[in-house]
Amino acid sequence: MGTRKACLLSVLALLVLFPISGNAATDPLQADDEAEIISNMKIEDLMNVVVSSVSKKEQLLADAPSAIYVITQADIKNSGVTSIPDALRMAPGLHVARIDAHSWAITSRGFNGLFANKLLVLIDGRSIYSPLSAGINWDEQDTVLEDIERIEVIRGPGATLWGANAVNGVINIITKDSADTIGLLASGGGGSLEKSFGSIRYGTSLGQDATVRLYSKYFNRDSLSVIGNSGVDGWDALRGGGRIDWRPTGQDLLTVQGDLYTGTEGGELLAPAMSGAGMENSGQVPGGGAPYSITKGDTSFSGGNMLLKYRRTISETSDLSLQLYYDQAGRSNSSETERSKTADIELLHRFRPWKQHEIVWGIGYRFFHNNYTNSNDKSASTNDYNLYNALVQDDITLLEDRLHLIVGAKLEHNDYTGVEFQPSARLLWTPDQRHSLWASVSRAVRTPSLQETVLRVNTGPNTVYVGTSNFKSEELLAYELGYRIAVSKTSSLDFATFYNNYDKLSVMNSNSDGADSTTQMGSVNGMQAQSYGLELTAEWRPSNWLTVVGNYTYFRLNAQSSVSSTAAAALEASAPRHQASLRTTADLGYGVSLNLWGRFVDKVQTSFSNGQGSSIPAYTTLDARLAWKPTPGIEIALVGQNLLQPRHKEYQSAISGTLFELQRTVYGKITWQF
Amino acid sequence: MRTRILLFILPTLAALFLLVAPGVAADSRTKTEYMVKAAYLYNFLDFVEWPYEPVADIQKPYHICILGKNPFSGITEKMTDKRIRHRKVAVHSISSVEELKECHLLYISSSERDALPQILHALKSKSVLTVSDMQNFVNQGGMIGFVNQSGTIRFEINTKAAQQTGLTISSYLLKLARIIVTDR
Repeated sequence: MGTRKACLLSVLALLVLFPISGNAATDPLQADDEAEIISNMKIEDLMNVVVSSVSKKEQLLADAPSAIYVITQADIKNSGVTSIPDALRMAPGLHVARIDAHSWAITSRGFNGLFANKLLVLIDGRSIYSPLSAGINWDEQDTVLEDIERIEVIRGPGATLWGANAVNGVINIITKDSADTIGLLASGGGGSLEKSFGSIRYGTSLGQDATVRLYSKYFNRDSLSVIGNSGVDGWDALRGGGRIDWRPTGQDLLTVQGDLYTGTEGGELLAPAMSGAGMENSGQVPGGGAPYSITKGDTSFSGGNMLLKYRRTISETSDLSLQLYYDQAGRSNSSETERSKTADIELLHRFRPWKQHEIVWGIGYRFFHNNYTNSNDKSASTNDYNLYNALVQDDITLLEDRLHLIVGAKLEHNDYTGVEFQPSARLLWTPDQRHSLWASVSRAVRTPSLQETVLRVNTGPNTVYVGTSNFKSEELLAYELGYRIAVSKTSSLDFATFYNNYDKLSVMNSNSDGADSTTQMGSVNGMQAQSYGLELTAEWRPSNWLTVVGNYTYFRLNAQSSVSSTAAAALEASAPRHQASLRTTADLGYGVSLNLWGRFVDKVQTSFSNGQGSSIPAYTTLDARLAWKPTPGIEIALVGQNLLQPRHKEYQSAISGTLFELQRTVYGKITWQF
Repeated sequence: MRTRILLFILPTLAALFLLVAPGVAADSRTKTEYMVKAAYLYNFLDFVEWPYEPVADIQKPYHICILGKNPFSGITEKMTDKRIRHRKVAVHSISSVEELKECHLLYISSSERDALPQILHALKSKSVLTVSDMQNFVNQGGMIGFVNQSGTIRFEINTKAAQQTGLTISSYLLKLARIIVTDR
């Protein structure tokens, strides 16, 4: 109670203290590095530096009729985060909960879980959402964090430009053009949770028109602690890859990039208990109904991807882009092996046939192949999935520079539910340079996962989970409203509010078939929900050396289900009602910078289909980063994470019900840049 | 209790800093673009020969002059240690062509777009390398114009304009540029 009030009070204090004078400054710490590096460049290198004439972030925010938050490279560096999921904690409207050392439950606007299925995540245009589980394997997704240009977090249905399953949000992770990463960057360090890590990246120009970058990264992370035990979830991973950007003429850009990775993670594996033996660790399966045993075991994962993107600027008002990618991923442990392959091709054209209309249209095709074998019950399955999509969007200028109406629709055809239609309409009003107001109505769908429609998985003796072919897509009708204001030259406020109406939500249903006493479980479209909330961001840059950013998120959800009222109640309690974060970055002089980041997340109730679950209390925590640059090319940083409490819980493992805890941790890192 | 205090102290401290800290005038929007253009200006000095210039006089600095609204403020101040051919480089802001005395390189800001013909006419008898990023600069008689090519900064050179005032541009620089020769 007290902490919540304090959060609201501090957010209010921030709003009250906004100054009126002064000038906005770019992130001071990054600007100095850039000036240093650029002033020492030779002409051939200068020709390859990519510049944006308006800060991409400001341009994105000023013209965007949606709830968007941009996490910049400076934010990632200054906060001291070591993974993409942790970087996402800086955005409002997202609930990021670490389940164990290598798993996170991340969602936007409710419906969180290990496989939160209403969020679309793209890395450079490649979707990392797995149709098998309808979720994201965050342990397989990583990059050299210094190579991330920005992460765009868009809450709300991004359906019109990105496709089905962007029901509650889209996260766009964009890596830097190789022309921006010339030179050598090497970093390494270690600490209590991050036992050891290192990465090396080298970029250079290839002739006059092309640049390339190659990288390699390794880390070894310790397990989180468990109440009463030490954890088993430590993991390590090795990753490498590269990117080439070629600009043969002023109008063409060709990018080819790829990554390869391999790793091992420890964890708890489910093995059906043989009669009698191994019953000491048995218990109720959160997702099933029969006794089982938990064993500790390692899962190894590996994979790779390749992406090709061609962009042609046809004229000032028209451009074309073609993208192809191939992604392969595999996981295996003592009982299961899974392999997936994805191939995708997409064409996008933007042009202005009439003065007031800017039209974007696109077509795409995705093929997904998956192979799953379970050595416990000797089951195996192979699945193929085809997705065809087409989109069109018209940005209509109703009043030049003042009022825009953006209407669009995406049509998709998938193998299970046929054609899905997702229209949206948005209005953007910019009365002057300082304010913008936007409103939108959209329809979005979450198409079924293979588990819900096709698979048949034995979760224990006498229990089987069966997909049903008439499982339909979940539907959302979303109403959103937002307002952005540059309060002064040094401060800005960004509000977003929404009302979401969900139908045909997935809920687990169990039938006991009396004949052979097999319990059959399956998903049915038996739940409806309505949610609403508010997301607020306040930014203040009073001087060249101080930045303060605060976020606040409020969320409520009501659910009804004729199939399972427990499931409806569980959904209502699964999202935190309040979340807040406050980050300050200060350049203290002599190359020293200090970053303080406080976060508050309200309590949540985890719940699994058999009614089991835990109450995760609200927590407040603080990360701090102290960094020193003795010379422009070297930075030494000391980072403390989760400092306020010796340990705290964020979520619960769905496999075993174990509650892992994040401890107070610290790590040191040295970065060299030439 | 501890946490409450901390979460309240941070913004209060921030407010106190505001009262004490000086304001800074810097426009964030085009920082990188002008850092790159500033670096180019220094580099250009290395590839141009001025007539009547004592070749080995390292005591005399190079002079870069900026005419009109200065987009490099806050940037060139950080480059004062740069030396070209062992000579220091001094950067000056001038508000009219009459103030031009010893400039080797004159950067004409796009704020002077409308007065360009008069400016170039006044420079006809002087050996000054003219550079700008305004549209169509080299077509109107400017010597080096910056162009944005797919997000990178490149440059065009009007060799005729440079030759007419006695400047020699190194073939190395010419190879890297998009060259235009006009009749102006």
